[in-house]
Amino acid sequence: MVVELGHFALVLALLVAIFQMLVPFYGSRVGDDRMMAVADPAAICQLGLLSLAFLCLTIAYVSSDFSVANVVANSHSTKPLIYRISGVWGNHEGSMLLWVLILALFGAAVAAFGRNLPASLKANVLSVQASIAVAFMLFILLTSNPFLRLDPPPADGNGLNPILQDPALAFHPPFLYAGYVGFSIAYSFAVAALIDGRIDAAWARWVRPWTLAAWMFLTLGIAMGSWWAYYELGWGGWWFWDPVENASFMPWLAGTALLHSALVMEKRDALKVWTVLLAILTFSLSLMGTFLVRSGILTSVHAFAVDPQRGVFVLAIMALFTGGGLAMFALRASDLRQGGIFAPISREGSLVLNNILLTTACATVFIGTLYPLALESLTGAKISVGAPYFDWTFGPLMVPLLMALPFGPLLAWKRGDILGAAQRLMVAMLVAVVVMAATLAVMQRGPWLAPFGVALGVFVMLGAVSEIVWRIRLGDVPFSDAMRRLINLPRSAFGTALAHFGVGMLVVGVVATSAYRQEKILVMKAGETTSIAGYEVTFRGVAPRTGPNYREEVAMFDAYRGGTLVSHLEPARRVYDMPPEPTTEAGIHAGWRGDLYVVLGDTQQAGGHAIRIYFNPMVRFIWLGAVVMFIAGAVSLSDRRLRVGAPGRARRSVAAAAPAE
Amino acid sequence: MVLWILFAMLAAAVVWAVTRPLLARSAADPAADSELAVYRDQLAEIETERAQGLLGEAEAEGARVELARRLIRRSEEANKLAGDGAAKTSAARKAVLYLGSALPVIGIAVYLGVGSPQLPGRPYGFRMDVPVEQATASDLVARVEEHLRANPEDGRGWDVLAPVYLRLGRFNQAADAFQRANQLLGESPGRIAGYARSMIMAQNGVVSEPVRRAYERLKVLDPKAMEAEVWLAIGREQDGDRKGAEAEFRRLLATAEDPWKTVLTTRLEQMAAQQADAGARARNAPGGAAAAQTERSPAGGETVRPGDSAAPAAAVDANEIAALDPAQRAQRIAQMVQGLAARLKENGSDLDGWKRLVRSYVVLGQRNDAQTALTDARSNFATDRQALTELNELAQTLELGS
Repeated sequence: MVVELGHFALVLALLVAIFQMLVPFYGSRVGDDRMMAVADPAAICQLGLLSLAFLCLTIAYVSSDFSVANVVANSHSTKPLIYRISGVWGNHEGSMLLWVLILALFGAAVAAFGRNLPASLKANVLSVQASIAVAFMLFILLTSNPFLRLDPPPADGNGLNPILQDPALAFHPPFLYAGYVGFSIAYSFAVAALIDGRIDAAWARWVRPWTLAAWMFLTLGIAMGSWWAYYELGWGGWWFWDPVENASFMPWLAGTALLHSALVMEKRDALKVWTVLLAILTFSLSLMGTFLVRSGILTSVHAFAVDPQRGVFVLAIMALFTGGGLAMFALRASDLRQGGIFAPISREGSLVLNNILLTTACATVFIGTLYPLALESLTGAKISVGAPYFDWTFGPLMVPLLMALPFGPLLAWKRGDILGAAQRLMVAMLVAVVVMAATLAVMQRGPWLAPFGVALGVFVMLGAVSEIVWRIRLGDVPFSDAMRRLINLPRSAFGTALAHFGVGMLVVGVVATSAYRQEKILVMKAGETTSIAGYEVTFRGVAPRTGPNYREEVAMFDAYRGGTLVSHLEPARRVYDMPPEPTTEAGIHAGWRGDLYVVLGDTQQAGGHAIRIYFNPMVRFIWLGAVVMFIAGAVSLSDRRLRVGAPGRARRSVAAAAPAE
Repeated sequence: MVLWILFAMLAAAVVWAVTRPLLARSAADPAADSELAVYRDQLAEIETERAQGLLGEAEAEGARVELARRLIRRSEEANKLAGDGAAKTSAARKAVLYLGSALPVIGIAVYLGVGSPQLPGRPYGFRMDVPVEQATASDLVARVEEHLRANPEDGRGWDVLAPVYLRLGRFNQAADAFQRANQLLGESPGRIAGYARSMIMAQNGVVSEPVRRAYERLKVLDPKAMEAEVWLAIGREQDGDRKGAEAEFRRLLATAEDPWKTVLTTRLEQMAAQQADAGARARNAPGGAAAAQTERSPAGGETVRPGDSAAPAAAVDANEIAALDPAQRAQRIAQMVQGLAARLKENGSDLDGWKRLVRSYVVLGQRNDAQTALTDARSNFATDRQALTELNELAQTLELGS
């Protein structure tokens, strides 16, 4: 009964979405505010109905209701509770339901918090948002319905792919989707503005918090995926330039560019056309990510839906929204008036540079991801575009971006002083050079570009600190004054500095771990010891162990450093009961210098076990950097300015400053 | 009934919510006001930035002028828009109101098309409480499973469940259950035979080492067990010992009764046919001698695994093939394998196809070809970790090198 209630709620949600798509839009055309007002309750109803549907599916999973085909295919009665819940979105149908649920959540948020949006803009935004929901709900009901039943029900389910039974992966899809879907708001705003043929700086201010929120979730979602790949796949790698990873990385790059160009638009009314285009492209890339993963075009863990009918449907959705958005853009972009003039060397100029580099980088990833697919479908030839391509295209684009990054926030709007900015960055530059020399001296081995990369990361980190130091005039004014200025600094300034600091951390982690990683592959017998990166690692032996729904072979290792025991490591090889598939669990010791990472391989015929040991220096900086970026987004989002368009409009400082005009 | 009441409540709530604004009084547009707030705030910001030194005096002045211009333009546009009234749209609004009220009707219609309101939910825990006479077979299996999860030492339970698993086509679980029952209740020829059968089914007819051991044991417990003898002989054939297998088949045929007698006769006929066929080919084709030497008969254990996606097609083929005379039959099988190989050469992305090919070669005794196919398959799935794992497992089961 619960399942059927969920099914009915999903059908109703589709109808409400159709209503929400048509009525407010018509209302805004004829200027009827009551019809426009339908958008708000409809968006909230949609959220309620989809939450109910999702809840019902979750109940079916938790109670192992094997009369539901989707539960049979992806769950098992012995699965631990948390994976029964995460199993809801650990499959194609359920994850699409999560997708529309998050879409409805964002729509309802606009309805609830967008009280101060101009009525016609809001009606159009929610109408466009509903059209996306309609497309995806039709997709679910027609091709991937999670509520289909089986009669009679089988005795037990088929279980969830064991490598998906993992805490990080349980929460990776919701964050990733929140990111993807969050960009739908930017898209809806862009299309709504094009429908009205009117776009102004206030528009950018309303779009920015949504974009920022989406960007935050996407950042964390990608980081979680990378972290999971690192410890679960057992290769010690953290990024593989796999098409599925790229599919989430492209919207991130475009979204980052959008975030920066929206800033210019909001502050200076410039780059309007470009910002609208980016908003459309970012969401289109999100849709493409969904298409690549959901259509089964890529054979990978993620492509649980190998079904051409679904692929064609998602392709049609993608074509409709990308094509529709771009067509609107072509028709209306000329109506958008350009504003704000600026010199090439200025804050605006630096943000334009940022946009150029980020979109170019996005384009290189796009080509590297889609070219092999296009080639395969045209000629049948299978090529793989791997890390070398991206190292040689993406890498060089990042170098000027990172070198210019600390300068941007130090330049004034309209016309900036680059020498002055360089002066303020003097300390950061000096420290970076020292770090470069020190890295060279300590490592004394190639790759010889690596110290430069590390120094670049340090430069970005210190550049962010320098910005705050300069803003509060630390050193120029008495210390107490500087502290007062620090307290009065807008939160968005902290957000900027923190986010850039996070980028620097990430760069340091990426370069250090890629360049200085140590690796040992050997056969060890119980009692043997090997050494790597200053650790003495002793193999104690292998023992069997039984988990809730798997059996594993656990290897015991003791890691010593200078004679003292640092850590026990327990890498394992698991075989799950249902489905009976093997996985490897790495044993990881996280230290400040880096991670000691041990993987248990096959048992050798001559006795002993194949063991792989890695030392990944500073690898944690990669994910810490991403977490810092996420926090930076949250700090920036809490800034009063970004809430002006949102609920409780802040008037306090406004009244004081208004007489300036 | 409860379900329909819930549906009605849900639908009523939705209709109430989405039609309410249509009936409300028209409110003034707060747009101008809210946009003004943003502009005022931006003005204030220019002031702060000037104070912080982020904006020069001249630039700040310029920015203020730009902002003022925007503000004026915006209010002009707003005035132009304000002329449109809402009065003339009341008819359209009424139509929308009817549409909104009709949502539940459409909803029920669509739902009846896709939903299954008559099916009760069957949560796992709840199924334990259904009275025995109402329970389905799978409910009962689930119940025994649940009981065994709590009492894994109950050998009787495993003994009851094992043959059921075997019938349901859950061969791996059947083998496991037979083995457990055997350990807990003590050895019995029936359980050992059941274990061996499950294993053979699970591995698509390959007589693997555990099966061989099980049948050896069965021979000790029950020296007259024809089943063990026949399968061990088939195992020899699969291992490439054709002469030995043939001798065994003949020896067994002397004492065998049906159904084993039929099995043995068919095997012998097939072997003879293949020999003739291979000999003919060796004479006809230059260089075919080597092929003839390695060509082996398909083993008797060609079972079709229920649940395998290829099962229906394979079953049809099997019937068709059974109807052919032995020489044609061998040829037909060789053709099918060649066809599969050719197809995979063109499009190597079919993992199941590769597995089938490798298995077929092994069953045909062409171990070298199997090895080559395995290597090709691996290179095709070089980047797909899961596929590689599956291939490695297959290699292990079939005892091929890696």
